[in-house]
Amino acid sequence: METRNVEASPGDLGREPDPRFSFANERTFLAWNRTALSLVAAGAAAAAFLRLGVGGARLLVALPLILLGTVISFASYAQWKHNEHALRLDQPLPYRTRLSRLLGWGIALIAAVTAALAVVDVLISEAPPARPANSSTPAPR
Amino acid sequence: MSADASSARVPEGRALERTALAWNRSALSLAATGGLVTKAGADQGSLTSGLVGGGVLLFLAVAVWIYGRAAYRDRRTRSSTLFSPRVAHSGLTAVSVAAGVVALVIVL
Repeated sequence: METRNVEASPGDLGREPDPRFSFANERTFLAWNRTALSLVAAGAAAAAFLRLGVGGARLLVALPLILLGTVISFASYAQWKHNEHALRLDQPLPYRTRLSRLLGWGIALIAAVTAALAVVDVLISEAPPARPANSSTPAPR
Repeated sequence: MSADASSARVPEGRALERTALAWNRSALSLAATGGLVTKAGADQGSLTSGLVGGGVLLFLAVAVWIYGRAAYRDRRTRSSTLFSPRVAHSGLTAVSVAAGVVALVIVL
């Protein structure tokens, strides 16, 4: 009888799965890894190109993107390993993973923060410039 | 032996090709991230760290590309691959995490 050991290497468990399933699992891992790299690249691009009038806005957009990318990179490996275990032990694969929820909610949150910052930036740029304290308009005669 | 005969011998031929292309795209993503990290470093006033971090990522992108090609060739000929998939995948994960750390250091 097979026992499930999630700490073991995938190659030590169960029986060798159909290579096409293993390749599909590998491509899914690579796709998640590219998503993680894209998030890191988006964070670096935000740091390089984003010019907002709000102080610290650049970091507020760039840091969560980079952190989310790093977390997804870790999680994609864990998911690949979990799926490989399931394939080798003839267990069903999860249809909806935590990884997709994490990515969805993360991107939604970052998008909301970025949109709010953009609105604040527009409001600041359209506000009339503050009058200097020592300037005095001549009194009408 | 012609390429067609070799493909016919390997039933997962197209799946293998798609996987090799996925490794190629991963290497390209890493290279693009390296370029952006270099640019971000230059814009943040830390050109040296940007160049070092971006250069390391570009070097790793070439390594990933070479691994993808070698793995495709080895799997097609059914010879033993350079690394087990577990080592290759954990290595790529480490590279992605390193890209995130380099980007964090440069942004901060």
